[in-house]
Amino acid sequence: MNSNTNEMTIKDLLKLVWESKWLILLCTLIFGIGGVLFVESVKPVYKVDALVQLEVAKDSKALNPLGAMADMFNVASPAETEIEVIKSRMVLGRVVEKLHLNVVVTPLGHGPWERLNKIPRPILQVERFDVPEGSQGRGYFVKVLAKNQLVISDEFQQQVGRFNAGEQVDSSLNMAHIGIFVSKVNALEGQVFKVRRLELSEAIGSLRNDLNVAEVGKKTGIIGLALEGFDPVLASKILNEIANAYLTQNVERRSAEAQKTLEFLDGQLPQIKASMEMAENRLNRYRLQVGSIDLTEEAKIALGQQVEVRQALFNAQQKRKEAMQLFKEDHPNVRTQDSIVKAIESQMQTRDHSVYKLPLQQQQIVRLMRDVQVGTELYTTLLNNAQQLRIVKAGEIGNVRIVDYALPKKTPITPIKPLTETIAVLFGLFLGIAIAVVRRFMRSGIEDHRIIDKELGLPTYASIPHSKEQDMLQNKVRRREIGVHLLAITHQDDLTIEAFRSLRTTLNFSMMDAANRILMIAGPSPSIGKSFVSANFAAVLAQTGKNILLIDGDMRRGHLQQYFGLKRNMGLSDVLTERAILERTIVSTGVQGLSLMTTGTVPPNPSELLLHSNFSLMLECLIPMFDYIVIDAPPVLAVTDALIIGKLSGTTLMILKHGQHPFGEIQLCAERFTHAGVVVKGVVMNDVAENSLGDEKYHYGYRYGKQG
Amino acid sequence: MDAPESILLVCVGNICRSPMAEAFLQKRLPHVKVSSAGLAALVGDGADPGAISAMAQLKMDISSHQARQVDAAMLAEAHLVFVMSLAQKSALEKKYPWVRGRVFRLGEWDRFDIDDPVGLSPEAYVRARCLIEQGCDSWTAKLRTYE
Repeated sequence: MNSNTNEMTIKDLLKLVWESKWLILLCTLIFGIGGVLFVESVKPVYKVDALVQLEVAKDSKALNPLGAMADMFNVASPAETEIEVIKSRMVLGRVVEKLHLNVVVTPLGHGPWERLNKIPRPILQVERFDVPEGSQGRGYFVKVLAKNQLVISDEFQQQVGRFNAGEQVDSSLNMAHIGIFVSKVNALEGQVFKVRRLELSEAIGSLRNDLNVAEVGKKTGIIGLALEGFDPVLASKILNEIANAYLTQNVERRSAEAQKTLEFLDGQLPQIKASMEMAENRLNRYRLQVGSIDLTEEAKIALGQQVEVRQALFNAQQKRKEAMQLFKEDHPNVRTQDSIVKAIESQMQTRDHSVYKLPLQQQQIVRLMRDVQVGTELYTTLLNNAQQLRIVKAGEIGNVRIVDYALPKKTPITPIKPLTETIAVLFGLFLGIAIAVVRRFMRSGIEDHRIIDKELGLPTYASIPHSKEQDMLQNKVRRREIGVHLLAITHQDDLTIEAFRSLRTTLNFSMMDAANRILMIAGPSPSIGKSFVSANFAAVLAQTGKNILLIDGDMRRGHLQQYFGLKRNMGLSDVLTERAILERTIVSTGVQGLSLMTTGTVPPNPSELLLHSNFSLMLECLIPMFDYIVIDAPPVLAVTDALIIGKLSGTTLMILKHGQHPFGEIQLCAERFTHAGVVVKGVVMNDVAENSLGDEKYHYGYRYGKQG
Repeated sequence: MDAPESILLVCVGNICRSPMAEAFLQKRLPHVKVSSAGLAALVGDGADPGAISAMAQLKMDISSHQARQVDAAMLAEAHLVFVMSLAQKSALEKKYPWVRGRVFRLGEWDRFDIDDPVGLSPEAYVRARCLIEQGCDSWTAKLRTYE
């Protein structure tokens, strides 16, 4: 780890990932399982779609019996307009009412857990649910008592009434004025459903939210309808209903214009019929009065001309009236009709004059017969027109075609199970790595001894590798098994012990000038392996045939005796409080040349005891008795004991756990020693991790050529 | 302190500097097992001719030397390990963290590195030989104080 530059290379990252593989694996696993649980428990959403085509009604001309007249009935709307129509309350309102979408039924107690266990959703099919005005939106509760036996209560759990499935409950029959009809129940006894009657606008609004209408492509005239919902069958039913409702309104709108004209014609018909009958009656009466009269040729011609011109006039007037239905008075269409009417009127006057040349009787009969003929012709024409319009209306198919009806789909759009699960796993993986990286930077424990050397001037005397055997020994220590549980004894060939031997070699040189042969093993914080180093180093020292005394200086939490399978008994504190004589507190450890002084009885005031002259006196007595005295001191940052012991020790070593201490902690520890006047000789880096990814190969510039 | 029982000399190729140092140190400490090895040894090669002739000037023969690659077992067996430069020390300590403490520069007491003379002039060999001899003398003096 190149902590110097604070940069992380790919190699560092890979190493970090390898070191934190369990954390990352755990994280990935948690998120993977979480992802699976999520997709299994979440309510799946299904999407159904339908296609509607807007036809530009060119081809309908051919089918239309009115030909060019049909142009008047064509309403070509662009897709945007039609999309808004589909989303309108007019269309959606019909669907809501037809499919009872304003009644919302929710089974209570059917949540993610039930979905996860694949428990089918309880069903209560409510066909009708009427509530009093103002109670829309309130929640009512329907409870299943037994098969098909239901009880309904209001929002305050006040029972309203009992009823059966399949039974019509009329709103006038109960005090709460609730009408309900349940067609189907599929639920266990005791299942409660919440039933709400929505306001129409609210129901339409929620339907509109789930509905997506858009033109497929650009200017294709094809509109795609898509609906999302929890029930694919219901969703497709709703969507098809929407398509149908839209189709119906389209047809209605187009036939509406024909309908209007028809209504006008129908209004005219009785009037025309009445005047025709009146004219017939007048002719009949005149004939009875004067007897039968034959028309002269001249009169016949005059009659024909008069009928013809009147018919033309009526037709012109009729056309004008029709035009007036669609246009204003000053519209060119109306004006043209106006001028036609005027021309025919003046023509009619000249024709009428020609009749005056006939004899009086002939004149009278021509006038009467003319009225009858004109009336009859008009009536027939109008009747024909009305019939034709009825045909147009009946033949109206609208300019909308439903291309695809919605089909229920089996696969939900959300959650997409494999995708969501993959994302969850990847996210877990990423998070695991992120946590590992953050933890590394948070901890930012010093791993590079060069920093300590450079910043604090403390050389690293030895690097003690992590030992797997020690983990096993530590268990024996913890279980307080009898026997020596020292790596230096049980695994003499372990590289960890070789590291202690290296430490021994270097200390040989550095302790040469020391004031005495007392070596204090100290460190900033607890649980960094001070006791492990003290005990093993003492044993390694003893292996050179020297007489070593190991003193457990941590009178608070010391436990060195456990490494040797010994009991605490009398020890340091008892010597200092003069409760025991020195010789009785020194016990042999079972390791040749190594004696131990335990902490002794745990005292209330360890620091004061150490400050007492008894401590220095004791050390003075011990120095001649042993070649080396190794003292295991309590943590420096916790208590001052180490500083007191340090003053009396010839040599002080600072134990650091590899990568465990932030720089500030090491610095503080070093400062404490300096302030107390204790010179720290060097650092022992404990628990140096094995370089699992392999260390750099030796890159030292090798300049030898193959010379012969 | 006890006199070390075995000393290992380490340079890069184990054909020039460390064989010379081995010869000097063995002569001064006859009861100590002195051996040498290389960090990137030309395994099996004999000593460099330049080194042989430089040593021959002092009537010392290192022609029978054979280069070997340093390994953990050698390092574990040696009580002291001498290298020629600080770079070699840190390279060794990086590869075998546990050797930290028993590895020293040969020129540690006078704080000098001994550069590789291979391929250079005979004078360079003699200069290196002198430095090696100086280092061996200092260390021998140091080690004798413990006896």
